Amino acid sequence: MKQLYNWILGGVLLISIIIAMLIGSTTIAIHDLWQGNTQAWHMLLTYRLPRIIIAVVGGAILGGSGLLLQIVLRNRLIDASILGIMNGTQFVTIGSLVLLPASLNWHVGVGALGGILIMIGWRLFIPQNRPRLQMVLIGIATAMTFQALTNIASEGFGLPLPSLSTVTWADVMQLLIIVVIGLMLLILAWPNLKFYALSAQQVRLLGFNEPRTMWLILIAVGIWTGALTALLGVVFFLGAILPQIARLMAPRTKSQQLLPATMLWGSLLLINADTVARTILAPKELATSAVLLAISGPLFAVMLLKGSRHATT
Amino acid sequence: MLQLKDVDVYRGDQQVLSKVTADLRPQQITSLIGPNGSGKSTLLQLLTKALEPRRGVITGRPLSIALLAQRNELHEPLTVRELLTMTTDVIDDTVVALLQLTALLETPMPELSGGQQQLAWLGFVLQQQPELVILDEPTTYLDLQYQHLFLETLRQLQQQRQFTVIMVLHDLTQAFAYSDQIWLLNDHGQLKSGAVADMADVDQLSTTFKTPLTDVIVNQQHLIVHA
Repeated sequence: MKQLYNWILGGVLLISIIIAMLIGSTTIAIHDLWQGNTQAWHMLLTYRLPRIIIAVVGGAILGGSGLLLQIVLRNRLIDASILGIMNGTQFVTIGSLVLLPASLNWHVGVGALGGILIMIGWRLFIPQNRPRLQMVLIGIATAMTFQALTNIASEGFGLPLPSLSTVTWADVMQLLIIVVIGLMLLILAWPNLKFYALSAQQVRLLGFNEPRTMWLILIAVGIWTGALTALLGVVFFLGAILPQIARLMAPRTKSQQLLPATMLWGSLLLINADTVARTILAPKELATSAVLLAISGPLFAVMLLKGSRHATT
Repeated sequence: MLQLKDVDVYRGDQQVLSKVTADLRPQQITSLIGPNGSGKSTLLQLLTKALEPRRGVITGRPLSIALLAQRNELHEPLTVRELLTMTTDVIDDTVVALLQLTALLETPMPELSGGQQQLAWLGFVLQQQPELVILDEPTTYLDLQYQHLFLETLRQLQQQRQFTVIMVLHDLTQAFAYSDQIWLLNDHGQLKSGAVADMADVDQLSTTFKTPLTDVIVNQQHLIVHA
């Protein structure tokens, strides 16, 4: 049943990708592509395809990051945005662009490095192991602080907000490399993730090296979040919601096993939000993150209300 | 096994344990009893190395220690089997049978009753084959039937496997019925220890718990009379 569910999601994703390739402010006809119409292919390859790849891959790591953070921090109310990590990496990226405008071409990579920095800083300086709701509040405060700093840093510099409409193949390459590195870290940490079902005290008594596993995951989440934020901007709540959506369809599944489904949902959501952003007010374009925020706020509220049995304390 | 000598523990400026000297008898069951706030949890934290003493020496800590708390968090809906096989691949069927979990192996933990869950956790602890098992008020949230089942099962397993047990219990009846040794902590963080028969002193217990106790009967059928 679970396998079938994932295959169905994959199928819907494939359809979404094809739709995304064809529609937009200019519709590409399959007919034209089939006939080798160079104009159609050019549009597809230069503008549509990089954007689609980033939406699909970005959505996957958005969901994946949220789930992994929830596992290692034992808290289903959080994700990288709620903890303030996303705003943190945005600040570092913007700061780098201000200080070193030439780094614009590498802003995805810069974002990833910023992600590592912010993650280390978060772990060292932000109170840990507090009750779940308190972590959310501390995180929001952190996010707001970084948002303010970002506004100040970008204030007189007229920096462009991140948008999927300006992504290039160079961005795609950077993202893919970062995703692969994160996956390698994840594979190293994978066998020990099951121990997060137990309390931290139990794990310590069992003698397992929890800090190492924790750091592998935090760094992976850090680089993914940094890259994602550089491309998409800050998107709140989705990383926390996507695992819950995946869980709804397959209750009684362990979090680790929900990773593929969560990533598929992330890809689905992002690619379709992007398609909507490009087409709904054509020829004008909405920011993809704006479309996402419109959905995520209400969804997060619903999630909190429904899951209040597990969520509180 | 574990020895404490003149151990003082402070929380901030407040002294919680005072010149605690005791010897944890190996392969026996010791119950740690005392009024609320006497420092029982603090003493357990010393044993698990979650706390260090300000003064005094602790020696002989065993290498393998397992802990069972009042409430044991489980963050994923594991089945009983998955919980038991978390650290080892093989399940000991006789232990599972003793814990009355044979029929429940494939049931997810959240679907079990509190008593069944606590027994499953006991199984999890024993799968680690620890030298020392620490239990922090393991029966507090269980209904009466499961309280006795849990302690009875614990004692049977302890006799079979010969591991050392130290447990904090609020119920004096249970403490005296199911242990070999008693560690008694008072309000001032001072410890008295001894065999169960020697510690069954009505006057001493009444003073420590500040409640008049009329009779202390120590026998395998567990009964103590409160005033």
